[in-house]
Amino acid sequence: MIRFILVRFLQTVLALLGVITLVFLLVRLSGDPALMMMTSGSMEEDLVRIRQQLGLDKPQIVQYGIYLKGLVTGNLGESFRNNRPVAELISEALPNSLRLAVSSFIASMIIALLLGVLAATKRDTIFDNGVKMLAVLGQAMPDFWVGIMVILIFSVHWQIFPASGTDSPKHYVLPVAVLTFYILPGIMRIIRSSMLDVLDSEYIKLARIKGVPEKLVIWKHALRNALIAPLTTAGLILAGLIAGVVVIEYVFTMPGLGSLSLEGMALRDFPVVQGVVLVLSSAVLVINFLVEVLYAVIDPQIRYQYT
Amino acid sequence: MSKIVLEVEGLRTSFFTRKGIVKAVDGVSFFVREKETLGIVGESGCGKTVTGMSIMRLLPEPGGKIVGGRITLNGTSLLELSKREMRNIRGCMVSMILQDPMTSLNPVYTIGDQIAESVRMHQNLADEKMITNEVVSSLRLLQIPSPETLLKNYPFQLSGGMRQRVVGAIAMCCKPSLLIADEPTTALDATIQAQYIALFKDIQAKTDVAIIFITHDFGVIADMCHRVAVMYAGKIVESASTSEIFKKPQHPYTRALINSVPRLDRKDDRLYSIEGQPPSLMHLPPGCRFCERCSDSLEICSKEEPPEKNIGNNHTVSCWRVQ
Amino acid sequence: MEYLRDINEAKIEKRMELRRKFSRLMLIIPVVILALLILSAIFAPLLAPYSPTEIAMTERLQPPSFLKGGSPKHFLGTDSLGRDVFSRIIYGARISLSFSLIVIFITGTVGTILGIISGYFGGRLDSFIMRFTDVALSIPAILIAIILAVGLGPSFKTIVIASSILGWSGYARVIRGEAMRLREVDFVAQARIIGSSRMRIMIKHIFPNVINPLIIIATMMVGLMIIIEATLSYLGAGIPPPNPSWGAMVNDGRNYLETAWWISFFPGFCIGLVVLSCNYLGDWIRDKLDPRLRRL
Repeated sequence: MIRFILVRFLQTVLALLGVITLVFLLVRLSGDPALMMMTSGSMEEDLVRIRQQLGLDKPQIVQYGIYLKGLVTGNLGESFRNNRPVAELISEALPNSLRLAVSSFIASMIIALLLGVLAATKRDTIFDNGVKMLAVLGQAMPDFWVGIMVILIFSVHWQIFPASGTDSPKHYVLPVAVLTFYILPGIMRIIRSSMLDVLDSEYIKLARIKGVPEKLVIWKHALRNALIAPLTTAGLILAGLIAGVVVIEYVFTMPGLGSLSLEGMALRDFPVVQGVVLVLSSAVLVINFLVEVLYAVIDPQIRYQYT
Repeated sequence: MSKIVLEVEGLRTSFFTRKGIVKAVDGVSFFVREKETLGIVGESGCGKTVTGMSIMRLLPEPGGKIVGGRITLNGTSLLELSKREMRNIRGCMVSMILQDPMTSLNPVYTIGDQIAESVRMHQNLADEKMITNEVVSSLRLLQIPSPETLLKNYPFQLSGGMRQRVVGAIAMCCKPSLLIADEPTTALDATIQAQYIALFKDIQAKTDVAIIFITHDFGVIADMCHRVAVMYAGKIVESASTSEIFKKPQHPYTRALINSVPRLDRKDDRLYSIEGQPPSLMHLPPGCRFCERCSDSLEICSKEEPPEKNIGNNHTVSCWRVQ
Repeated sequence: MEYLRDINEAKIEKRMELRRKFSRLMLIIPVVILALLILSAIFAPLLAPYSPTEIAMTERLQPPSFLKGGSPKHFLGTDSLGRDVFSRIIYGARISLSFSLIVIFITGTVGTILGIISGYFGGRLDSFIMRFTDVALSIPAILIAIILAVGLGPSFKTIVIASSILGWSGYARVIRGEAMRLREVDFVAQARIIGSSRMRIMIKHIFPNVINPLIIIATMMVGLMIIIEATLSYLGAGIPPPNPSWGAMVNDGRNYLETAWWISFFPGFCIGLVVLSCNYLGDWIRDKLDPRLRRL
């Protein structure tokens, strides 16, 4: 178990380094950050000065070293726009995004578990077809459009919920609902199909032969096995969640990491965008690592493989 | 004669699929006595497993349904029980062993947990110690060495033969009066297979359990069973005691099956095999179901189904050739 | 008897027959929708009644022709700059379709090559590529697009690069599994025995046998790509104005929800309809070609 965690931890660190490097390369490929800071009134000497400030006059490899050193000390640079440290901007925006992401994730997890498991046990009934339809619709309709339609109905037409902001829990109702609807189908489909696989297995037959009540067969014998497959796709689910957060924050004009990076993009505020992307992708990798540890807890085979 | 444990009369089980109705079991009758082993033999897809699952009332949902007949176990009519009553009988009065030991244990629970679950459910035992005792004694019954240490193991830590014994222990832990074994030896190596069959005989001697042994292998039947029922395309075409059926097989299908067992005392150049395929259970022919593959068929065979005849000694057969 | 319910076999048979007919009929709708999409992408200039980019301030915010107060000249109404929504949707099909095809071509090629190499060679190379794939699968394309858009500015090229950088991973994973399976198959072993080079085996023997899964993933990706393009354009990282991308059109209507909901509604509705059709047909093709891949 400890070896398993250690191996995975090292792999995560390597992947993190890979992502950091990718972001660094993308930055260099896509243009000269100093040029982006130029305004119409800037002079040639300004350019040189900014290059010096940003360390862009040094060789690429040295720049890479400086960049890494900054990251280790938590220094993500300063915003071009208002010269505030990027780390500070991110820590201000983070709580809003977390609230949105975590509550939507929990909501969709609960709904997906319930609907996915029930659909699998009631295979090919009206209920199952209804769940499938919901999944198909959720995957086909773009989340930003669903968001706008929800605003149109609940904020403009009926005026039940506010269309933007984060002032009260009420402000979160629509964004959380739309984000939940967006990430739900993927999770639900995986749970349903892996549950179907498990329910077809010999050990479930054996549990029924033993006379185990159907409720226990499903929620004890089957579910624990059926959860392994969704966990292996946790990375994909997480990617969907983060993409969803960015879009939903924009749709409902909520301050958060998504809005921060999109504003940064519009204003070509390079350090801000880079910082947000780094934080989000590191979060993905760290959470993936935690999920793998959880995976080992559920599946004894993995626990023993590495001892 | 010892008492009859299970009696099946005119059992019919169908699967309702999108493509049509599959008559997997079509009017099957047989019985098993205490201490007796009945072999049900036939090719895959002939309905032998479905017969077993029908007795357990565990047909795949949706689609699988018992559409007719009676199943009586120790005097109770199983088809008239409620779901809850049936569940209390399952794993307690009647138990089953599945084919593949590698997949029939739940990978995320320990061996001890999986056996104890059965004990806990069906026996009113007050404390954990008594439950553990029961679990250990059932592992002993299956001749598992050092059962106490095995309790904490997970299935993937055991060999196939050992897993199959654990499955046996789960089946036997509540002392059932009927055990249905669905090809329990097919997935095992030949040497382990022989051990396992010896083990079954030992268990039967100790517990008086009636066994239904489902297999496609006449060789195993000879070692294991007292009586045999030969199934073909959802029907029992011949049944008799094991010695009788090997001496005087009547149905051409039975003869073909017996001939296809490899034997050391005969010098054949090649193994005998039966030409052709069994009929689709969705579109059954009007006459005898074996007619198309029979080398010995009469005109009537393709037109009318042969009735079941008792030719004495409890030997029954359904074939127009048999007078 | 409680367990033996009265079963009318003829009735069940009839119901199943109806179901089969219905599912065949259901196939026509997505085919028609996709045919319309392709036709409007190709013949946009002929089909669209107006220019998609020409501004006509006098015609602005006209409701669709079938609504009260709608002008008969504009079937789906006009946007805040007086551009005809219907014409813009027709031209938008071009962007959606060409984006999907280009990205699918790039990612499919890269993913197939990496997948075959990974699956065929196995070992350390395989675990390296697969770890890489896992990471790539878990980084949202949106993030890459945003970072690229800062440097390159929002453009068609930006989102093509952003979607391709990580998009190959889905292909690589499935193709790798197939290649691994094929490596053990007899005819490949045969080729190895007679001394074919690895390159030759991969091209002549492995590749033709991964074409089915490749087609399946590619068709299933069409819908996803259309959504990605729309999302990126909606966020302002993709197709810059005034070009008519469906996603950007939804964004155009954002500030006019109270007065002119049709500007946002119809383009988004089109995305949903087209993606639904793509996914439905994708599932159908998968079931026909290789039902094993159902769990993708």
